[in-house]
Amino acid sequence: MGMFAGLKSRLSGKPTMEQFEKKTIGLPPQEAGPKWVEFAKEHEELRPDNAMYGYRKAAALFRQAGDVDQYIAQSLNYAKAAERVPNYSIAGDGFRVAADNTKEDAREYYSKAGENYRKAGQEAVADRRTTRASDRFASAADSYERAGEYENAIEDYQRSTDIAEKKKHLIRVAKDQGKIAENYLRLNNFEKSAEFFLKHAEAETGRAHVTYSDGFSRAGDAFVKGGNLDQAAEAYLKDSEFSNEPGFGLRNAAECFGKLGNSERVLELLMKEVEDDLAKERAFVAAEVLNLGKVLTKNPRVDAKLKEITVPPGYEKASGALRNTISEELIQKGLEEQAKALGK
Amino acid sequence: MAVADEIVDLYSTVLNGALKHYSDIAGAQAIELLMKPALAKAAEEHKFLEPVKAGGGSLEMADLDLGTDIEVMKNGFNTMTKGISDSLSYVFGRDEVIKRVRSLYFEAAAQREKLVHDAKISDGLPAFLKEEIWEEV
Repeated sequence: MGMFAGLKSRLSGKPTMEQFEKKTIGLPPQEAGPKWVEFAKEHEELRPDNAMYGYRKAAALFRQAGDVDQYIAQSLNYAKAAERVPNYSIAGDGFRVAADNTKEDAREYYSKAGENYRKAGQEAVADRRTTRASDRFASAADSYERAGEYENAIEDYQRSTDIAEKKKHLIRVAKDQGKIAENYLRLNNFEKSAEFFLKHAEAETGRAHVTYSDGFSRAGDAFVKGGNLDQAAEAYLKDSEFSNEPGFGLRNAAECFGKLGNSERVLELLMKEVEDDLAKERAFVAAEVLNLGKVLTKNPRVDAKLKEITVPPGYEKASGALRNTISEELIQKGLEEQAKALGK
Repeated sequence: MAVADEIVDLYSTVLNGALKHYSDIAGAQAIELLMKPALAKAAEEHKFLEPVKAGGGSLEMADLDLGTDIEVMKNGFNTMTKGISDSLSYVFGRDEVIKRVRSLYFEAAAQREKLVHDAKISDGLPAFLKEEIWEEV
């Protein structure tokens, strides 16, 4: 605390922060909390930094005492005091605490948190504190996302990932790109969403110890929603290269080719899927995949393969569940007639 | 309960919750068949998972070595969770399975806040369990 601050406090007859802190040591949190609120109120006008500290201290004490309402109220107070200091990072934290702990007005508080974290990020950029800047922009983006302000969220995830890319912080890059993709999805911008899911997947699988990413299949889903079945098929095929269950990507790609009228590709991919299922002793899955092949290609090779397969008894319910899933997949790809033919 | 015990209990609650649900729908033998490769892969990558047995559409974890390092244990369970979720998704649909496993995980985690915090359970979780607002998309 500076000399002038000490003077101001003495002049107004109030204890300095250090003096006050000593007075509250050893008090139970439910007693110390209200005293810190009082202290903060007295300093609001002349010393917003002391007020911010006091309200923050009070918030922590009320949290300790299990008084959630006061925890929220004092978090909001320190957020508002921090805005006046200004200390945008702390202001963001205060609004964020309030938002995370309340249902009422949560969106408004998330939005305020986003606004303050963004300013904190911009300040950090100006100070050339890049890691801090990236963290603050990511916090801003996450808060905006929870506020339902998806365009703002995308902007700040992009700012965060731009810094992270320069610093080769691949975990952050992968995460931010995935979040950008999700927010484009919320905005029904399927093309951009798919683009970022692919970037996310490539960043994830580019890391040495990561062998799989959901990004490829999520890109496929986004392409399907946007009606771009060519690229959807490519994304699903990429998924099949990395997934624990290659059949999932193969089947979805085959369905896309089915919609595009490319029966040869459908057959090729579904037969691959069937081989994988048979190698895993999943005759009930292989049979359902072949039924899909029949509907999509009407090729006699499918019937011939189907005759080779015996599904043991006891798998009827599982076959029915898979048939439903395949029918849903067909409907998503605009193949309603084929879904009906499968029994949906 | 020791931390290792609690970790086993958490993952067992989530996985067996999911397996029971899908066994009720499709029958236990189909579910066992489905998850077999995922279990084998997890045990191959994480030796301490070798004693995990599948039976009656659920997982038996009583013989696990509780002296295993906690980080090793978490990694192994995360691989297994991801693998089993993928296998279930293959038959029941990805959105449906993710929604189910997420709900089981968040319910189990809410009852074990201290463990989740102290053992940093969120670190290294499969992405679909990590992000709080994934479900809305």
